[in-house]
Amino acid sequence: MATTPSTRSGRSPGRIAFDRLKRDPAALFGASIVAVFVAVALGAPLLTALSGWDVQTFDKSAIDRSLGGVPYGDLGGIGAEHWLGVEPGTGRDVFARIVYGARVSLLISVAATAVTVVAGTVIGLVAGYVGGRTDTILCRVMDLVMSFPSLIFMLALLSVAPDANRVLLLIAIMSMFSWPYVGRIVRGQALSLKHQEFVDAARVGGGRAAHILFKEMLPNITGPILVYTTLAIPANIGTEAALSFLGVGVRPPTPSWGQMLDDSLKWYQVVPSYFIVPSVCLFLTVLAFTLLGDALRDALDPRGTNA
Amino acid sequence: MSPLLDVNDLRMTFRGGVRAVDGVSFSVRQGETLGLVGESGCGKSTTGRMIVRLLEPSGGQVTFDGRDITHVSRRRLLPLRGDLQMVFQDPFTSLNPRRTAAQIISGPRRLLDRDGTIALLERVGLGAEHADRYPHEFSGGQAQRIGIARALASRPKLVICDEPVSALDVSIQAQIVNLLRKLQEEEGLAYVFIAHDLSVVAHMCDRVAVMYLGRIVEIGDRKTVYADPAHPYTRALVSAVPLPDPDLEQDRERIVLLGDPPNPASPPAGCTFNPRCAKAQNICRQEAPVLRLVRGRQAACHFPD
Repeated sequence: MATTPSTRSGRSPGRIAFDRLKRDPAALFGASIVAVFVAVALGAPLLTALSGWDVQTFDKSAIDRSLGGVPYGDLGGIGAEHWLGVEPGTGRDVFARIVYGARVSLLISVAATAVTVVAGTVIGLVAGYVGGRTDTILCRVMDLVMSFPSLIFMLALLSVAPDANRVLLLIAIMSMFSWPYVGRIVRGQALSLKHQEFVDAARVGGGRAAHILFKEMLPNITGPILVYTTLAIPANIGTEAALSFLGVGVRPPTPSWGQMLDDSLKWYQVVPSYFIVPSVCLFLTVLAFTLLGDALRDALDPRGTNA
Repeated sequence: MSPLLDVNDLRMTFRGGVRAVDGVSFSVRQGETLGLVGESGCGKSTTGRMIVRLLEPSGGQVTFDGRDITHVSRRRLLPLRGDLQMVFQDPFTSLNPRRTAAQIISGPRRLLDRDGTIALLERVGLGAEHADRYPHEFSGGQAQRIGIARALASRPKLVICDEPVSALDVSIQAQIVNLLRKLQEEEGLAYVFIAHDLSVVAHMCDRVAVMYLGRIVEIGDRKTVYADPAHPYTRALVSAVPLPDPDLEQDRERIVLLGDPPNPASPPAGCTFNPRCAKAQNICRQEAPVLRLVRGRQAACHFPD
């Protein structure tokens, strides 16, 4: 029998999913856009140095003060000097604010997702594996948190919270309301896994609880967790944008896409490009992560074809 | 010499009052194989799981190597874990799909180094090339060999085999049974061999215990029990074992049991076998028989054959 490299022995289930993912055009498209935005966020200082304008510099020469700050030129001042135009009223460079905004958006959403997933996974695993009273209590707590209308509570909490570190605060509050969703998924999986004989075998082999939870069970539920993660990131990008849009997110002068959208509403009739640029960025990142998440779910589906 | 394993009046009552195991007693000596046979749901697997403490017994006592292990904590049990191992029924669900054969064999406590793992793989009939493969790349028989290697990694004295061959093809069953016997000779292992198939047990065991509805109805030397069963239930089971000689097979009488085993949550009064027993009398419906000596083995029947 012919053996191609991809059917060689020792191909782990994760490897199989990765090979499938590599052949999925939607996944490649999503992954490349995500890669571009991550590169933009990481290389923000480099990019602004290249474009010549940083986030906080007011370019008075780019706006018409007699008209209340409307940028000179078409499309909100887009041109060789300001690649994506300038902010109406202040003259700050939109490109610089977009790339630094990408930093804030991605940092907050990725960090909030990470906290959510880690907390939800640990709590879900413990609830599912230990069972009994522990499970009942943890499930009630999850129900309780999920029954909060989260956006309203986030607005309220963010409005009254002290203004110490806005980014950390956003991460904490966003993950506080979303961990039960992961917890639920993981608990369900843990419940079915704990009755598998390999878990019994690990117990007979003298494995401690931590080994059984994280070495035996967790590797078997990375699929659903990974899918949830890639789908939670765009949701969190949206939430961060919404909170900043509503004025309780990151505080100026820190740039954020949601904040720019909020600001652009005052100008959308005269400077529509100022509205379009952050919208397109938001749309593209959310779309890219969602495509990636969907593709990942298909790739990890054991019933999928062409393994 | 005291036995390696002594099980005394072991009981397991599940929630809802189901008495899965209802007072089972037996002992296993060093290097010996005890077969535990019965229909599905008779409590044989539950018994095995209580011995290795996967289930917490509701009553009775398990003594292993002179120590009472019925309710000891996980930490106090740890030094004994190596001496007391288990081979599971389903070769696939008992192997973690995300761990390689080598990781599975050396277990949670990483008992073996690379050389030790390969040596063990070779002893169970596999090779070094199998060490880094994942369970989905093995056949059922190969997977069960890995399950056996895992149980042997800690050099146990007693292995509970919970229907180790019933999920395998008949041709593979013989290989696995022979492997288990070879390993027993090499290591001086004792087995508790759980099976629903008497013909498999016949090849493996020194002694046999037949279980029905959570109780042992007959226990004794394999030869004695097989040649001349005393309990009507055992007689029916033995009559179902296929004979290798076609003429004998054609001529012999089969005892076909009617009905299903009763619900263990509400067992019948008296002898639990009475609704399916051809010889049942009034006393059988009133008084539960206890194990007593019948022609060289113990049987729980008011009217032993």
